[in-house]
Amino acid sequence: MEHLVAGFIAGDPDAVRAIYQRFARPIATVARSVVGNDQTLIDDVVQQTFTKAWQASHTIDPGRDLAPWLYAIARRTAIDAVRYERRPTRGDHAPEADAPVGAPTMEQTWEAFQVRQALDILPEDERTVLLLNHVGGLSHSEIANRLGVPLGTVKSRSHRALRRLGSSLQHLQNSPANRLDPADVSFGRELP
Amino acid sequence: MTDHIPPGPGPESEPLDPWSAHVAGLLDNPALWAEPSPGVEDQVVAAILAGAAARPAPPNRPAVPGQPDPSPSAAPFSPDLTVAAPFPAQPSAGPTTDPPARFDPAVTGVLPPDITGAVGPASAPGPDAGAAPVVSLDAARRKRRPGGWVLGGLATAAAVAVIAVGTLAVVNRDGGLDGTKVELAGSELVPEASAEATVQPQADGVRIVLQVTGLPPAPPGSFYAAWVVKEEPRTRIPIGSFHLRGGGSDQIELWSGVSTDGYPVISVTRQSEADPAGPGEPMLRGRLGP
Repeated sequence: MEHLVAGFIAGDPDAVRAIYQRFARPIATVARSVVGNDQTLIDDVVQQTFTKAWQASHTIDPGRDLAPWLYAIARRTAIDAVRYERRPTRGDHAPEADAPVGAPTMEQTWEAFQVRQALDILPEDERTVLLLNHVGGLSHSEIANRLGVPLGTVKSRSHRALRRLGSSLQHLQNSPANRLDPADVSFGRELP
Repeated sequence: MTDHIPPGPGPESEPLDPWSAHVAGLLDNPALWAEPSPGVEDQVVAAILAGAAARPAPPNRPAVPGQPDPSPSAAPFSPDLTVAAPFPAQPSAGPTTDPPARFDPAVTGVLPPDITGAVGPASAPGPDAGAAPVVSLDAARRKRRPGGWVLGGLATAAAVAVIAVGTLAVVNRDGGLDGTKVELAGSELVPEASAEATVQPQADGVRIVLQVTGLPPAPPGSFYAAWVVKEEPRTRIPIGSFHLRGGGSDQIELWSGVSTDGYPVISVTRQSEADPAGPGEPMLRGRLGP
């Protein structure tokens, strides 16, 4: 991973693509969580997250996990995007009034980022079953018909996938310290 | 992995443990299945390649015997999500100055404001909302020219980097100004930007001459506002505004009606004409004295 990060910092296109392919979907998940179902805005957030990350990439320690850093950039970029989209072109009310209402919390988006990472490393056949079930709304029988595989195969893939996800995300359950804890950070308003 | 159910009781025949069942419940969240559009990857690569081509070489700061290496590589930034005050600045006093302090967490140990601001619940009103720099995200414009804003921004940075060379030459010809020097560092929004402020107390106020480098012209509908800032309690006093759209020398004359003894921080924000009193986007910041 370190050589990829070094390549990313240097602007090597192969490294940029590798980093993109590894993190673009989790970043899209954060973006979707914050901006809602607006594909243009999601794309904007993904694109800007990477460019902002690259612009600040001289601050990256190649030995550290990029995920929390990219997540933080993505979430902030998404929140800014929503505010910008909702900002009135005129009027005198405070920008705070334009902040998204009911936006997911930091813990929720960080959890979603990690769940998405875990989803992305599932075997494709298992991931497809989960996708058709949870997004497509198909029953296991319908999935079996769609994929042309036995019902038992669909059930086993689903079961394995969920157990694999549960295992890989165990830290979210057992180690609350691994979650981003708002108590550990301050976010007092800073004058620019 | 096999596609077939193993004969007899096997893992698949056992009920899911509660945690896995909980995870299964999370999967109904459509955000977990969001995908960027296929063209975004190429746009990101193109934008970064353009930026890499335009990226100026890091300044060669001569090593000072007995001093730690100030280069970013000397103290790699830890990406842990911690928060500290944004815009650390490198103070300096006297007629000679070091190269401006980049907004560099590797040196300062803090995250850029755009990152630090991310670590707060979005639902929490006030602090996060007010501090958030508004990033240029004109969706309508981007829908017409996908990816254009990123490429445009990086191209602007490249152009401004060229302008900056000429600006420094003008400063050298002028031989500098008397007064206390303050280096202003660019925020994460304009990491290549910097400025030197010359602070000159006068009978009627404080004259502050800002020599800006690498700060692009304010986009139409926006302007730059300069402030002196007191930290306890947080208060900022306007000292002038400018836009840099005239192609001049980037030397801005500002006036403060309050003493910089009490307002030791000089900052520049980008403000929207539609919201001139808003918090604005942080651009430059520096501190007088320690």
